[in-house]
Amino acid sequence: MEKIKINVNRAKFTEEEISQSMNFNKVISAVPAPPKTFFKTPVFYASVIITAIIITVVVTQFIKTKEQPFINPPLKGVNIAYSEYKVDNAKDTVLEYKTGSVIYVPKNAFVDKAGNPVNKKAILKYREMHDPADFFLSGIPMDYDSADIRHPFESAGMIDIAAIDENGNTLYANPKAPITVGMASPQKDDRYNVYYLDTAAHKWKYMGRDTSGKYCKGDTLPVSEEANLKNAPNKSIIKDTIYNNERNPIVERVALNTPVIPRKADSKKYHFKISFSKTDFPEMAVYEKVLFEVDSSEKNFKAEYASTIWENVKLENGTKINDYQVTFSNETDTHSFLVHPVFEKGDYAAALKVYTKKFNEYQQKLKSKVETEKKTQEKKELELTSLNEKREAELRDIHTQQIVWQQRMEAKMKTENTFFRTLQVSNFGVWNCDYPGSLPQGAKLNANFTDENNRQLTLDKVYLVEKGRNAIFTYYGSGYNNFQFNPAAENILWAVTNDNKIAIFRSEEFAAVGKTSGSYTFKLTTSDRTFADDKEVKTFLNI
Amino acid sequence: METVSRYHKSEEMIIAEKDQIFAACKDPSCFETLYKKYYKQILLFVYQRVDTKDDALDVTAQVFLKALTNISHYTFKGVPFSAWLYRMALNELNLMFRKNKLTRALNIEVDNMDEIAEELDIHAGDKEKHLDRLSFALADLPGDDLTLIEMRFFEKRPFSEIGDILNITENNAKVKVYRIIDKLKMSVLENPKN
Repeated sequence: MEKIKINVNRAKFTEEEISQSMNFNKVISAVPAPPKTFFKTPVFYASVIITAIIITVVVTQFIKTKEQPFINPPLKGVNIAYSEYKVDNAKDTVLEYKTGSVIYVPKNAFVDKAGNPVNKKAILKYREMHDPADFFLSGIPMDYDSADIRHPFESAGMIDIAAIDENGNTLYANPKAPITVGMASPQKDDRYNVYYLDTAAHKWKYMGRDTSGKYCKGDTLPVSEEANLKNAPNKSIIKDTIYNNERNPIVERVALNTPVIPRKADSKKYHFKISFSKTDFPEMAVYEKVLFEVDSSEKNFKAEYASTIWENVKLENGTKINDYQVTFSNETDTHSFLVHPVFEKGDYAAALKVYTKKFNEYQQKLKSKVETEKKTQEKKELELTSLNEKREAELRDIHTQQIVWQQRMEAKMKTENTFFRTLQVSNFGVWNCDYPGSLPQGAKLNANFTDENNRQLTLDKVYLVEKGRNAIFTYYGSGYNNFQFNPAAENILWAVTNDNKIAIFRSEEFAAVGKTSGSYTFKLTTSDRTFADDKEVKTFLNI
Repeated sequence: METVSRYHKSEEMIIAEKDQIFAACKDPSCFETLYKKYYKQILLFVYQRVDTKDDALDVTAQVFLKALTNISHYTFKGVPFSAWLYRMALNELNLMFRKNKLTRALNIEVDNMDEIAEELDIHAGDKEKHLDRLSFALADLPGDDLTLIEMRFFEKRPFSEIGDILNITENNAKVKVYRIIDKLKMSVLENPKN
């Protein structure tokens, strides 16, 4: 308790004293100078400079982020290397990748920008990614966006295929001659789909169920050329077509204006004379006084027909040489008979003379024509034979390459128990056999990351692998607030630091997390190692 | 002791005072009106609690200096500006007492003790007998309690003003004052040894 002094009836202030003690000027002069306007203070200038630096850093970072390629290998200096194959675009080729995958490259598989097959040799660049370390190093996004929901891919393998010419110019896949890849896949189940990475749209494009392209022993060749093989021209058919083309003597003779063979009229048979068109019947046009004799088979012919007035008389060629069909008709009757051109005894000699002369001419013409035709046929046959042999050779080659492709896969299936997934590459780029999975379940933490010295780590991305699932779960940005993992599984987490080191949180450390919710600081161990290739990274990550 | 408890003002007066305060915010020289208006009240308020006139003058000068320095922080709450000045004076006094730069004084006017004596039910005939006890009992009160008694019985302030100065409700001020009276009664009448 404070000590209090008690005063009783002490002296009061007089009005005079109060008035005299009032001194506003003294008060106002004691007021400290007002602080500088904020925008004139060093604090303000410092704030401006700091703000400018922050804005610059943020904008730079933003631009940097924007400029980052869609496929962005996170560990600088290490990537999944391409294998390169020099391929002759003029013929079919079968290639084999180090994983056992077999690549069938048909003739004209490579086209230029305009879509024309290239004449030069092409350099085919090819690589495969099969496990989480591959996915990580390749920098290929492994999330599938379905209806704005993010699904991490669980993979049965992924290929990246491209081509250039010998001058380094980009080549394109010919959709009419697609490359067929029999991708050796460690996963043998049937739940996968085929996706193509659309790098322009920054998303995976669903191409269909993988089962449609899965190769099984005994399958028919999946190459479209097979249809051409079946439909290829056959030499024997061509020959048959040439030699079995029987000559029609009527057509031949008519074509060559050969006159009919004159015959004497039979006095026991009916004869009549009709007019005919010399243009329509040139074989009779050369003769004078042609009669038509009714064939002995025509028992219904009557003599009065000769005196009947017919409104129409029609003459037609018969089925044999010297056979003609004549039809008489009027309003009430119509009669047809088989007839032959004949000559009266007195006219026969003249007709025979004309025939002999015309027949000799015909023989000459026929001989000449046959020779010309023979030469033409021989030439045509030669050309067709040549074309056929060439085509057969090509198809035999295609078939051989396809058989090679098929046999290699079958051999591997038998001896190495390899499972193949067939991909028809209609576009160069990244193709995969995956299915959209889900994030690990069991624990959801607000994750924070430090190094072994408890220094805060600023990480672009954090990668999580749950052993037993062929997937990589990538967390970044606000994803750290919902960091999910399966506490019952063996997990491993890592990130690439700003100085390109791998910082890792191993499975035994995961076992000690002991939390399934709330906040948790993952203390990562940063490795000073510099990795030469993907194998060293895989060994280090031990996944 | 002169009564300084002229607290009640019309709404117009309070609004006019608000304008003066805003003017002082922009131009400190405008504060002079308020200074002149409240100087005597604050001086006597301070003098009631300190030992000497010089101490009172120094503290009062300091109170107005701080008021002028911090006028821009003043928030108008519908009560007279004097309440803010009294609160500032109390804070300054408490600061001085805590730092032992000033001695807390209990300045008694014998005439003012009548009212307290009546509240304590001390009969007129016993007044002389109990005066010393009452003085010591007051001096034994905690600082905040003594301030309340001073404001109510020595300075004759209405409970509403006491509430405004101490930033409590009028009713609360009343309850507190009468609890202290009860405490004093017990101390003075039921414990004659003091």
